[in-house]
Order: sequence, then C-alpha cells, then structure tokens
Amino acid sequence: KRDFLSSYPKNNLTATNYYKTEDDFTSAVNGIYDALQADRELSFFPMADIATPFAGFGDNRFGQYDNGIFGVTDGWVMAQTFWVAWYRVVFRANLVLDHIDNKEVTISTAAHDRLKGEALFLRSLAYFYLTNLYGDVPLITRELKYEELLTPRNKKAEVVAAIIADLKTAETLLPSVTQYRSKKALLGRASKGAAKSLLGKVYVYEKRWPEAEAKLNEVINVDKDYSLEPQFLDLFWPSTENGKESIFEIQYAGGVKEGNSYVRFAAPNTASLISTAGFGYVTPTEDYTNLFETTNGFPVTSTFVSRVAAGSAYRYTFTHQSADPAFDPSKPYSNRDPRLAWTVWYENTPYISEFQARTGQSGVNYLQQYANENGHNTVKYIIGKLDLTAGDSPGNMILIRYADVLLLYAETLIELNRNTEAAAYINSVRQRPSVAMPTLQTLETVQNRTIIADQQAMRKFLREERYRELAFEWGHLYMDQIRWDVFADEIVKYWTAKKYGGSNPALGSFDKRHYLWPIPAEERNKNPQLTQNPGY
Amino acid sequence: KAYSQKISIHLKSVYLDNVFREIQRQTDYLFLYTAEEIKKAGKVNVDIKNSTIEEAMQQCLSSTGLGFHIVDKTIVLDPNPATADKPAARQRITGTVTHQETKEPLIGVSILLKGTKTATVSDNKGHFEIDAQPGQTLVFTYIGFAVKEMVIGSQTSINVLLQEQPKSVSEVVVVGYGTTKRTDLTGAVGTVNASDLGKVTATNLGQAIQGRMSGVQVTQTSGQPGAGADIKVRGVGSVKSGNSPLVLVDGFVGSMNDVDADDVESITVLKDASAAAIYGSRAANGVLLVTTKKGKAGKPAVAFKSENGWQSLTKKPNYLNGPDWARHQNEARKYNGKSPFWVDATAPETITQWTDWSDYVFRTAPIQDYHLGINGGTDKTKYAVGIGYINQRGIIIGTNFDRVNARINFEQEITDRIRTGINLSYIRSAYTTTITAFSSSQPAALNGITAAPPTIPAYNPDGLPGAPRPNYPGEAYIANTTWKTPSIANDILDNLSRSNKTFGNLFAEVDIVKGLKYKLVVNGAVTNNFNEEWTGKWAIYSPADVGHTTPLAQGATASLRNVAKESYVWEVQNLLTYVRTFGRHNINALLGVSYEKSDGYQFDASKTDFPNNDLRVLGAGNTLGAINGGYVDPYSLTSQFGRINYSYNDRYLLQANIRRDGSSVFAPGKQQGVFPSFSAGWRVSQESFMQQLKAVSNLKIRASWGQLGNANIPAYAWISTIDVTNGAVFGNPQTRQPAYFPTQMANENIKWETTTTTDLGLELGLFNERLTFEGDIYNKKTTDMLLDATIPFTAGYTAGPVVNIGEVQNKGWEILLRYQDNIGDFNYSGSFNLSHNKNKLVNLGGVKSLLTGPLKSDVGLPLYSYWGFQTDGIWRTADEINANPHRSGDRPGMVRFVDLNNDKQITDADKTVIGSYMPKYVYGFNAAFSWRGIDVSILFQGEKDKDMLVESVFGGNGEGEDNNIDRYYWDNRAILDKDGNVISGTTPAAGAVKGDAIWSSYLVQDASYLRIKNLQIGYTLPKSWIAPLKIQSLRVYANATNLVTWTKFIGYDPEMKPSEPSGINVYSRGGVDAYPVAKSITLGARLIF
Repeated sequence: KRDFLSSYPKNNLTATNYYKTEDDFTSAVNGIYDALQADRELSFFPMADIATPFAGFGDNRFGQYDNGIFGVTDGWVMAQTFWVAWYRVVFRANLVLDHIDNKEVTISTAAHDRLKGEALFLRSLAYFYLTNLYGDVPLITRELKYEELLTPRNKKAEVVAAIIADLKTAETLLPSVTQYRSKKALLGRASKGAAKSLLGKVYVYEKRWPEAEAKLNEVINVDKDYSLEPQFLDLFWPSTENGKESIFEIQYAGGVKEGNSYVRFAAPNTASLISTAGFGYVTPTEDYTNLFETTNGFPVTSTFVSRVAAGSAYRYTFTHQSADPAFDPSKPYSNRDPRLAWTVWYENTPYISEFQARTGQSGVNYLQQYANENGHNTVKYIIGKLDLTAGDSPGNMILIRYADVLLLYAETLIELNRNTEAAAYINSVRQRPSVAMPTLQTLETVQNRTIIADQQAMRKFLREERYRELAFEWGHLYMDQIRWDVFADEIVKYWTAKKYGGSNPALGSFDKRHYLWPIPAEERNKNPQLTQNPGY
Repeated sequence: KAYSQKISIHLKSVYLDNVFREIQRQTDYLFLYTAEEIKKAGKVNVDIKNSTIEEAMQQCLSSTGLGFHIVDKTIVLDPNPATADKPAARQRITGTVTHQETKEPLIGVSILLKGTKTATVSDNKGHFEIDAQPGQTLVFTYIGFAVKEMVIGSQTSINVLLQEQPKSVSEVVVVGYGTTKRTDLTGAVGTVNASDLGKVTATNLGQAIQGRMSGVQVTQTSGQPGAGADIKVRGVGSVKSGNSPLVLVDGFVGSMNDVDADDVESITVLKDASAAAIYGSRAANGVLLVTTKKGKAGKPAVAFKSENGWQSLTKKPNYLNGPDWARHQNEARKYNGKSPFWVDATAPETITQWTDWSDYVFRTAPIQDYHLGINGGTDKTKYAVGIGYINQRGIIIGTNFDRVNARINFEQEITDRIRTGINLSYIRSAYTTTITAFSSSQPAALNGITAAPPTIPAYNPDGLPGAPRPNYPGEAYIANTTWKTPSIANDILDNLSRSNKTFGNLFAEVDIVKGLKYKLVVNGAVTNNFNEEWTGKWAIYSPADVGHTTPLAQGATASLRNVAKESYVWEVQNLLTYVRTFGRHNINALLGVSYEKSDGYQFDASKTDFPNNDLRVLGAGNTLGAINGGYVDPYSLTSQFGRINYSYNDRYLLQANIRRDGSSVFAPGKQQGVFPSFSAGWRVSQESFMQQLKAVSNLKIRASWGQLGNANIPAYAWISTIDVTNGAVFGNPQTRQPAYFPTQMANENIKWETTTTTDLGLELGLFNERLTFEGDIYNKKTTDMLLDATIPFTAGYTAGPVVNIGEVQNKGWEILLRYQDNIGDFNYSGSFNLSHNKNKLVNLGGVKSLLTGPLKSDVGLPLYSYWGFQTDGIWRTADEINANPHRSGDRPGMVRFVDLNNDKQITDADKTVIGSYMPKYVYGFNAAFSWRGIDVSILFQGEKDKDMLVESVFGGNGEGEDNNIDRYYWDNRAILDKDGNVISGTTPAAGAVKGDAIWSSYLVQDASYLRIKNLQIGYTLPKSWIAPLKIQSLRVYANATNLVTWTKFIGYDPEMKPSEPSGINVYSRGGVDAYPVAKSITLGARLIF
C-alpha cells in the first residue's frame, strides 16, 4: 500500500525491495564481477611487474613503481586505486552473502550454491590481494552501517584464515568448469577449480606445503579439469580466451563499453603502426630476455655497451654471448625459447608476421626506440585492432591459469623434497607443444650441471621458469619476488649495476619495509582507526 | 468603567430603543426619551462602524425628524431639533478623483457618505456621482492611498486629489494565506508595491525589487536576456539544500520568472520565523509572496504600456590592441625562455589592422516591452486581464529573448456568502543564442574575446571566419584548441531554450457563521521545457588558401542535442479562518491543510553526422550520440498548519504559528517535521502615556522566535539505490549481462534542516508618518545542516550518505528609513535601507572541510570563503627571493606569496581566507520627487565589503602568453632589466602569471560598488491636452537602469557574482565566461483609456 508520501526512485531499484529472487542475485553477483572488470583499476595490475628488474617505465601513475617502489609515499595513486577496487569487490560480495541465505529468497538450490560460491570466491580473491599487498587490512565480511564504518585493521593471519575458510566453502558450492564449458553462457564465472587453485595458491603463499600439495594435487590429478593450451599465444588472444588452460580470467568485451584500456597503456608507440599503439608503459629489460635459453637449452648472457638518445627514447647496444654453437650474436633473439618472442617485442621480432596474420594489419614494424625505455615492450594482451577503440580492448586478463598451478605444485614438491616429481611438472610446462623446450634432464646434460637433485638449484630454476612463463600477465613476477623475499636484493643489484646507463636517483632510499604498500593517505584521513605500515 | 466610545452597530428595521440599548451597551451614555417619540420615529436601519456617538446618533435619527443633545453623558431626544429644523434638500454631487502626483484618474475609489450606507465607486475616468446634503462628509478610500474626507459645502462638483501612501500605518500587507494590517504585524516583513515595480526595465521580477528592501540581497548574476536574479534573504545557511527563498505566486509555488512585473500588485518578503513559519519546511531561506492584480469594481479600465530602449555594457572592456597584444606575447615568451613570435617583418609595429574582439561580441541591443491590462467589474463580478510581450536582444551578438504572457483573473460573488474565482496564467519564453554555449563542452565565445588573437580578422574576404596565417606562429594556437574565435562560434552555434508554463488556481470561499470562513483552493502548473543545441560543421582556411584545399582547423561533423522536459505540480489547500472582535479582544485565526504533488519526465537525445548545416532535426543525423534522462524526481508534501493572532486593545499583539509538514523525500516514519513560531508586538504609541508625544505617530516593538525548515533535500537519500545501468560480460560468445549494485549509502535517519531565527524589531513613525523607521536585528542558526558524509573506501559505496551534521549561523541587522512630505504641489520622498549580515560555519560534524576551486567552507569561516595564499606584491630581485621564503621557480616579476606561519617555506599551511563574495553590507537609497505632472525617481543601490576572485582579465588562465589582458595589467606590469631584476611596475611581468590554479589574494579584487540602479523621469500630460483624444491619462517617461557605477573593480561588472559551487561554475573568471550585466535606457508611455 502506498500512501500519498511514499515515493521511490524511478530509475533505480532500491535495496529494500531487492535481493529476493534468483534474477536479483544473479545481477548482484554480476555486480561483483563488474567491480572486477572496472577499467583503469584492476586492469592496470599487470603493470605491477614493472617494479621488478624485469621491466620498467610506467610514466605518471607508475613512476614510483617503476623505480622499484623506491620513494613510494602514502599518496601514491595506484596504492589507492587498487585498495578502492578490491574493497569494492569485497563490498558487493558482502551484499550478496548478507542476503542470499534469507528464508524469503526464491532461488533454486543449484543457483543459490553457485552464486554464493562465486561471491565467496571473489571476496577471497580480493582479500588475497589486499592482504598480500597491504599486510593487515580491515576484514569486512558484511555490509557495514554508517556508524560502523571506521574499522581497524585485522591481523594478516585472521584475513588469511577467513580466505581459507571461505574458499573451502566455495569449492563445495561451485560447479566444475566442465559444466560451464557445456553451458557456454556461464563460461568465465568462478568454478570449483578456480576456488581450489586459489586455495592452493594461498597455501603456497603461506608456505603450508602439505596442504598446498593436497589441494593442488586435487586440481591436477584428481579433478583433471584443465590442460595446457597447445599454442602459448592463444592464451592472450580474445578468440581463444576462457580455454582449457584458463582457471580464472577477468572478462572483457569490446564495443559494449566493457573493455579495458591496458592495451592503450602497454602497447608500443604509434611508430610501430600497430593500430592500438599506445604509451608503452611496460618495457621488459635485457635482464629479462637473458632468462630465455636457446632452443638447445644453453643460457645467453648480455653485456651493456651504450645507450644513445633516439627520438624521445633510446637505442641500446648490447653484446650477447652463448655457448650454444647455433647462437648468432648478431641475431641474439633468434633460436631462443619461443616464449621470448611471445612475451617481448624486440627489434625485427618474427612475432610481427604472426601479429599481422592474427590482426589483419600490415606495415607493422618494431624498433628499439618504439619503447619508452629498455628497448622492448610487452606482447601479452597487445592484440591489435580487434577492439573498436584502444581504450576498449576485449582481451581478458588471466588471473590463474593451469601452467601457474603446475608451477605452484612443482614449487610445493620442491619444498617437500620431491624434486623428481617436481621436475616432471616443470617439464610439462616447458614442453607445451608450441614451446617444446628441453626438459630439465636434457638441460642437465647440455649445461653439464646438476639441477634436479639439488633443492637450491631446483628452487632457482623454478623461479626462473615462473618468470619466463608468467611475466606481465597479472603481477605474478612482482608478487613472487616479494613472497620469496628476493625483491630487495634483485632490485638493488639491478640499479647498482647501472647496466643500461640509467640511474635511479631514489636508490639510496630503498626500504625493505616497502614490500608492503602504504595504506592510502586519503583512506587514513577518512578512517583514523587505520594505522600505517612501517616505513611510510 | 472606561469605554472606547467608538460605536459599531448593524441593525435593520428596528425601533430606536433597540438602537439606544445597543449604544448603551457599547458606551457609557444614558438616554432620555419617551415611548411616544420612539413609536413616532418608526423603524430605522442603522449601519455604522467605529463611529462617534454624534455620528451614530445623526444616522439613526436621520430618517426620523428627531434631533438630540448631550448633557453630561446623557443623550436627550429633541422632538423639534433647533439645529436642523428640516432636512436639507439632497443634491447630486459630481466629481473626479485623481492621483495627486501623477494626475492620473483613479478608478474604483470607494466613496462613502460618512455615517450612512450611501456609497459609490469612481468609474474608469475617475468620475463619481453621489447624492448628499451640505455639511455631510464624503470619505474617499483607495488601497494604497491615504483616506481623504471632504465636507460638502454648497458646491455640487468636487475634485479630489488622493495621495499615495508608500508605507503607512494603514497599509494592508499580504502575508501567508491572507492579509493583515501593517500595524498588526509582529514579524519582519518587507514589501514592494506596483508603483515601484513599474519603475525598472527588467525581464525578471527579481531585479525589480533590487535595492528596495532591507535584508534582501538581489543580485543580477547575469546580463543574459531573460536571466533571473539571485535572491538571498538574510544570508545563506545551507551547503547542500540551496539558499533561494520560496517564491509563491498568488499563494502557489512558482518563480520570479513566472510573472510579468506589470501584472503584479505587490511583493512581500517574509524574513523572520514569525512571518514565514506558516510555510514551515520550505521557509528557511525566506518567502517571497507575489500577488497579482485583481479586478476592481467599475467600468472597464484599459491600461497600455509601451516601452522601447537600448542596452549596452555597463563598462567597455579595455583589452590590448593588436600591436600591444603582440608585444605582450613577445615579452611573455621571452620571460619564459622562449623566442618571441613577432619579430622583423611581423614586428608589432607592422601590425596596422586588428580585431577588437570585444567590439565584435558586444553590441548595443534593443529592448521592447508592451503590456495591456484590462480591469473592471461590478460589486459581484470582477475581472482583470493582462497580456504582455517582451523582446530583448542581448548585448552579446546572437542572443535574443522573447516572452509572451497572458493572465486572466476572474472573481464572482455567487451569493453574499459564497465567492469563487479563477486565475489562469500562461507564459512562454524563448532564449536563443548563436554564440554562447549552454553546456561547457561547447566552445565559449566569451572566452574567445581574450583567447582569440586580435591580429586575426573576424571574417576573411571569403566570408568565412578569420583564420591564423600560416607564417604567423603567434596566431597559430587557435587551430589546435577547442577555444574558438567568437566569429567561429557565432557561425556554428545555434542554441534554443524554450519554456511554456501554464498555471493557475480555482478557489471558493464560504462564510459559515459570522467571522468564520472556509476556503478551498486548487492550484496547478504544467511546465514544458525544450532545449536545442546545435553545433554545425565548420572549417577555416588561410587567406592565402583561395581554393579552400587545406583547412587550418575544422569541426568535421555537426551535432544536435534535444532535451525535452515536462513537469507538473498541483496543490489543494483547505483553509478555515476566523476573525472576530470581542470588545477589545481581536482574534484572527487560521487553520489549514494542504496536499502537494509534483512529477514529470525528461527526454534527452543527441546525434551527430548531419548531412549539412541546414537539416537540424534529430531525424537528419546519422550517428546516435546518446539518449539520456527520462525522468524527473517526483515529490509530495502534506501539511497541516495553524496560526492565531490575538490583539488586545490594538496595543498588545501576539501571534503563534505551527506547521507540520510531511515530505516524500524522507524515509517512511521520518517524514514529518513540526515548525513552531511565536511572536509578540507592543504598539507603544497607542498607550495613553504616549498621547502627549504628538510627534510620535507610531511606535512598535516586536520580537519573534521560530523554527523553519529547508526542504530542498535530495530525494531518496534515505534509501540505498541500486544502479541498473551497468553490466558485466560472461560466456562464449561474451555477452553483457546486467550487473546491479547500490551506489549511494543510505541514511534512513535523514531529517529536515532546521533554521532557528530570533528577531527583534522596532518600528517608529514620526510627524504623522512623514518619517518612518524600521529596524531589525536577527540571529539565524541552521542546525542539522545536510552534508555529504565522507566515508572510507572500505565502505564500498562510491558516495557517502547525506547526514544532518553541520551548523551555520547568520547574524545581522537591517534598517529602513523613509521620509515623505510635500511643499504645496511639490511632493518628495526618500528612503534608505541598509542590511548587514555575518555568516559563519559553526560546525561540520567531523566532515572534512569543503573545498571547491578557491571556495572553502570550514568551521569558523563564512561559507564559501575564498581560500588561498596571501600575496605581497611582486618579487623585485633575485636577492630578495633568495632572502625570503619562496616557492621553487619564483623569479623577479612573479607574485610574492606570504609565509603566514613563519616556517620559512611556502606551503599549503600558509593558505588563509582571502575574501568572500558575500557582501557584508547591502544598501539602497531611493528618492522621488513630483511636481504637477513631472515626476522623478532615482534609486541608488550598492554592496560593500564584497570580493570577487577573477582569473582571466589577468591573462593568467594557462594560455597566459597568448591571451589578451586588461590594459591595467599591461600598463603596470613589471619591467625587467638585463639581469632579470624588476626596474619598474607593480603588477606581474608579462608571462609571470600562470593558470596553474594557485589561488591567491592577487586574484581577489574588491568588488564593492555603488550604482544608480534606476533613474526615471516622467511627465503626465495635462488633462486638457489629452481629453480630445479620448484618453484618460497619458504619462511618458524615460528610464535608465545601471546608469552609473562607482567601483574599483576591474572587469565587466562587479555585480556578476559566482553562484554556489554546483558543477563547474564555482568562481567567476572575471566576467570572461559570464554574461555581463547591461545598462539600459528606455522610453515609455502609459496610457489609460
């Protein structure tokens, strides 16, 4: 009954008459994904890798980041952007979880379980990144009233415990990805495998090796929902996204204002004639290319010679060496691990023809100075003219994929001293049909050294394998280096070496406490209850 | 026992003894008579009011042949009166009633034979006829004029001059849901009557009241034709809910734009809580009551007004000419380490032709204003019709305003107990512009005045707008910016804003029992708005490019946007009034309930890619831009209200108001608010001890306290709304699925903002009201002010809830002084009003201080204070800079900031209040003279202690090197020697001020001003000249608005004022993107047939 004074908005639904039906909850859960898909927020997270010695630049927003978070202050804009974005995911998930178990809700059990599982998964995902980036964070698990908003930070251990508990529930509620694959409209939503994989990853981050082993083993050897995509490049191409290797991706679509502008920020500059050319924020270093062996399994090293200005960027000269008799120092990037060409733009890369074939563009060219720095750009997600506008790229971003899980599993096995088994999983990643790199066993022969039997060597190799496989996709390099505690050493070593003729003026101010990001200053203004991380 | 000895009797067909008993009851007189005399006299009718005993006796005995005499409080009947042996023969008296000053005939003046029921009204020529005896007295009453009595002598023809009473004690004032005598007021009320309203040439009624009332600040914020005026009553008290007063046209919500000034009878401003409280939740910012002209009994009176004139800038801008502009650009570039553009063959000296863009943009523009009013009726049927037309072209080329309005007022007395009426108005206005933009995204030609290089001609020989010449880099910048030259804008823009509004009311009033009336009023309004914004294709070419092959700059596609909106509002009022006098007790009570509802829709669509510049309807566009809008927020309001006025012996006045409002903008259960007020008055002058003080004709002290609400509260702040426009993608193929989530956090407890006002007032009238004074002091405190709460990001909502936490205080005083007198035929009057208001934000409830551009609102400061660095001239030498706190990059010739906190550096901590655009004092002085047919009136109006932060006349808005600047800043600029030290000048060096949004006191100017707001000289032609033309009255006049202005302000006009921060227009750019206020001179004539 509506009396004379009752009035409700005409162009909005209202919370009081929402959260009743299956449709309501479907749209509300979609709202969580919408927060995930918001452009220029989480879609910038792949740029996190530029903090490592393996890539640079980043211009304004990532300027401080580029220098290895030297001199980052609590006013750093990206620390606020990601904080806001992840808490938005938390908030929208909380709204769903607050209401979905109400008695008056009319919803089928299948839908209820899936939607609740999705909300739990997405909230866990958010807290995973929040607690690993910022340390102790407010653990908010329901919608807060105005009077309750000023909450203090919770200990990381509490947050992690909540993530684990939620993911354990989520994996029982969520359907297998195989169901989504048959019901194509649902593809892209969180699945049982996603929850298990994330849980496994959480255990790995927490160094809870036996639990990690058990969970990742379920994904790999029990459920067997995933397998490696034969063509490495297909992982980053819209036409083949959500493929069999995909465990969880942020979905983007062009033309309906549901794309991302990462392409615009990461692509080489316009001189490359790529139709989506951009600002080139992600510039892999020569240190990064050095990680890729020759196809015969020999390592390659480089020596810096010079850096000269060329236009607004620089041209670099390096000399390269390798024991591989097939290696030609004048074509240093030829005959290398195929993933190099699919991860890094370099001068006259053979990838150009592949790129032109896939995009239908012609005249594409790549010279060192098309990069703002370091002479290279990233290849991943740079998908040419499939999108309508450069700021509306349809390419999904891969948060978790099967190769990541295999390597996490291998890492776990190494830590459990099961190196031979670990080697098999590393080999499976290296021997993806399109990559087909020598196995660890072959490398031992070629390089004439012991790897598998040596836990230290295995650790180092696994780390490098992760760098090779997972760079510039979703901050894996950055997050791995932090959790392995190699970030500080690597980054100081990198800048101290001054290999590229550049220097980092902030070098002296590097502070290992910056492993944790600052709680954004604006947030602390609004919520005085929040303490700051040390070092800021 | 004391009696007032005034008698009121209304008896029909009774014997005299009944009358005498009644007189005895009301007085302390005794009667001496015989029953025979009573019987002989027969039945009489008596109808007298407030009469003396003599008058009463004369009337009741007039038909009896009896006389009387009084002996020591005893009345003795005389069977054969000695003084009037026989009734004198009645004779026909004829005459004319004329306005004493204007000599215009007065229509509808009521003429009463004193002590009798005999009455008549003057006709449309001011004529009247009445039968009377010599010695009897005629009483002439006319609203707004002094009552005049004339004793009839032997003459049979009487010509009467009535004098207008500008503010007299007998004035009737419109108040909420009724009228009252000014003497009975206990609240602070200001009024303006038709005679003053007619004096200003204004398309907006708001401007017509400017400077005429204390406590009311009216600002003409824009000179755009048809633009409204900004009205503030006693300061500002709200950040979020608006500060404009409630405007009621004939008791119904409306706006000052809704009525033609010629249709208005009076405007009342209810300033304090006592006066305004009857409007409860909407009255916090004051209430303006506009009352339109009603029909008057009498033969039809036809009045016609025609006014024509011209408008122009109040002050012509003084920008640099071509050579000096080029010198400025050179100097500025050199200062910033760049090479000058204008050298050798293009040196400034070689520039012999240039465009004064302000000459191109501004013009002298005509205005015409016509009004026809017809007025007439009988005792039972009255009507008034008004038709008006205004055409005002703007002083900026391409701007034009048209308005047509018509209104009908009709009242009918159905029986002597039932009256009904209808009021119907239609107003249509249209504003078109081919040069200024409606939305900021379009090129703003006004900016072009300073942004466009003067060396570019307005038009090239090819007829297209002038273009930068390829070899003149100093001109080039226009090509790559969205700032276009005024001529380009004028060629491509075509914007139209049209509004139709129909509104009116129906009423019926019934007398139930004596003193008790019931009134039903039904109000309604429908408004249609239509906006059209057209931007055409354009291209400009170098003069050398005769074949038009390579455009230097172009807009490749045309675009069109249409916005249509319809909204309606209706209201039903049920009013019960009770007015009775019981001896010396006067009671006037009101009880009412009302319901109001508003709703509407909006449609907004745009397209681009039109085939050419001729097809300008949406259907012709190829690419859909956007479809937006689609709704208008509805609201409903229910109200119950009551008022009681009680006065004892006309001396002690008490009033209490209460209103309970329920509004749809709040959560169910929290919708009601109660707003009480109380006031009291003491008419000291009525006391017997004051009677010896003959000089004091009126003295009243009054006090009031009350609470008012501010109802401009955003709808649905109480409820969490879920945005339904977003989507997320899933699936293979990927499709966009609806993704819903709430955006704004709700506050279920949101409630009314409450303003508590205390007012103390004094009214004084001296020398028979020749000198009057009215003064008030007040304290207005707004509590529970609505603010947007700041919430942490962890809350997840994009916007915080609206919460009631702030507190604002306005304290002030206001005075009004008036003197009027005459020396024979020479009448003169003067009035002066002065208002002072001090505004302070008392509490923000923990919410962060609000900062928008340079406007800061923080605890302890006035709302919207200018906030920035204090400056101390300019740096003169590098040594001086090094020796003092400075900003990095400071060089001689730049503005020097003051290190206020003495920490040896210039940081944000040195920022302070650098001014306020709210004047501390607002004043007006009005003088009027008339002699025979000539009348002169002049109105001075001013604001004092007001600042304005202006950016652009300095050429400091980011394109500082290229923009034109006011000559003042060129003539006084710092000149540097070869070492880069300043050798002369007081203002920054050319190029030293950058538009980097660093607000400082350097940008703040004193915008105090005093101006001749209005000057009018009129002449009413002698009757003898016009009588042959069958014209009753003809007055011709000349009128000037904003004629002279005294100010230190550099810029177009000091009256233009920034609006409150809402959207982008947070501060004035020195009149560079605000439409300058105009000066106008018009000639007019008023004819009455």
